[in-house]
Amino acid sequence: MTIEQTYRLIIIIAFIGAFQSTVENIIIAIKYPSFNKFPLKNTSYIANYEKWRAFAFDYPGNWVLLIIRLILAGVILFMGVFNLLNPIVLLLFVIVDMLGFPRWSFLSISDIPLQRVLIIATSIHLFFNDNQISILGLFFIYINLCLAYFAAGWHKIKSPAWRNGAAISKFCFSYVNIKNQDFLNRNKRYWKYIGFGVILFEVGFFLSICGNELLHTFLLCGFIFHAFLTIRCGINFFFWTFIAAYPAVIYVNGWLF
Amino acid sequence: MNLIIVSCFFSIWVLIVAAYAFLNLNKAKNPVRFFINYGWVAKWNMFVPDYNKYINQYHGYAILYRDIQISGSNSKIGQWEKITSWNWKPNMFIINTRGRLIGFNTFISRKLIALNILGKKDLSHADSFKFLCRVVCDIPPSTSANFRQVKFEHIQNKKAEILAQSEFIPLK
Repeated sequence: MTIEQTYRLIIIIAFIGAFQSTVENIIIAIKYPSFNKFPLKNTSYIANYEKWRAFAFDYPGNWVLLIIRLILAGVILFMGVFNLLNPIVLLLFVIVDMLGFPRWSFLSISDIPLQRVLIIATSIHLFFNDNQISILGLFFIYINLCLAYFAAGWHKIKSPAWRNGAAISKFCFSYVNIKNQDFLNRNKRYWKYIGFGVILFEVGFFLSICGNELLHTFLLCGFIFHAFLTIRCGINFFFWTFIAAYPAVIYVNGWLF
Repeated sequence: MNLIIVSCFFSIWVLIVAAYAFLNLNKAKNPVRFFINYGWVAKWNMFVPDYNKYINQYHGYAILYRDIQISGSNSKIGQWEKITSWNWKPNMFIINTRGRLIGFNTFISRKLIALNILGKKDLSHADSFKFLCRVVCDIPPSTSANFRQVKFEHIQNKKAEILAQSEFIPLK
């Protein structure tokens, strides 16, 4: 893959996710209109210095912003597919996202910081059009992805619930929809092993650029991990953003070896 | 020159991301707050139930509502119903709001439990609870109810304690 193709692939995958998350937010706003209509401006969630952007996160501005976000995500996806990417449009998406952030932060948005990394790195690549800066951008994406995984693993290592398997058991109950408490209690040893497997993957992800074997192993594990969370548990907001960063890991591995 | 500027920019960004992920910078007044409020950093502590005493998911919770039908001097009060998956079946994994709505539940619940642990007893007027009530009232009633009551329970050692309970909220 060339640098250009790598960045295009990153943006295409990331913006499938951005489009999806916007559609989901719109569905929530239609099914539960109060989610968008509840005024946040004078609540404890909003600091005084943030009130200036109430027009964006309170009704009806948040609806307008939601539609703009959807259009921008679609346009960027189109631009990515047809190689027409423009840094201004990418930055516009980030600005829209920042303005409405207090509202969306009530839903699960942990993927947003990594999405911003992908967008800004791509914008810088497009803006400077310099090979060295572009490669630096891909390293930047790789480092941020490793940091995200490592931090997730690190917090799990520190958690007694993850060390004794209780967290996996609770996760299966809440998200995998296994409601049989006997089954959950009987297999504690296996939950512990699965927990260690997840921690090992997350903490060790930075090794993915140490040769093709490790690269393939980690990326395959990552893909299965995120696909399982998406398909089985309905936690689909991490999938596109994390998978979008994988082309950067592939490029960095290829550049080093 | 451009390379140096971009390197510095990326380095500072990585330092901020790492500092927020690994250090305890979640307090209200610190320079990192700006990056939190605008969505530039994350703690990456998803699915860690005992992350700290305020957001410990082992403090179980339940969000319940019941519908009330009042006509003239007659009133019919329904059974408490627990919100589990927001009546949304995960039949499409590409577009599926269930995960986000569970995220909303968790976010609100953590706030209410944290307020309770910090000593605030009456949470019925807390912003989080008001927001929760408004959204719960959007769930279509199964009968021709015209009011709804919402309550939030904190569950510890299989004992439920009511932290907040709303008045009868008129359904639109």
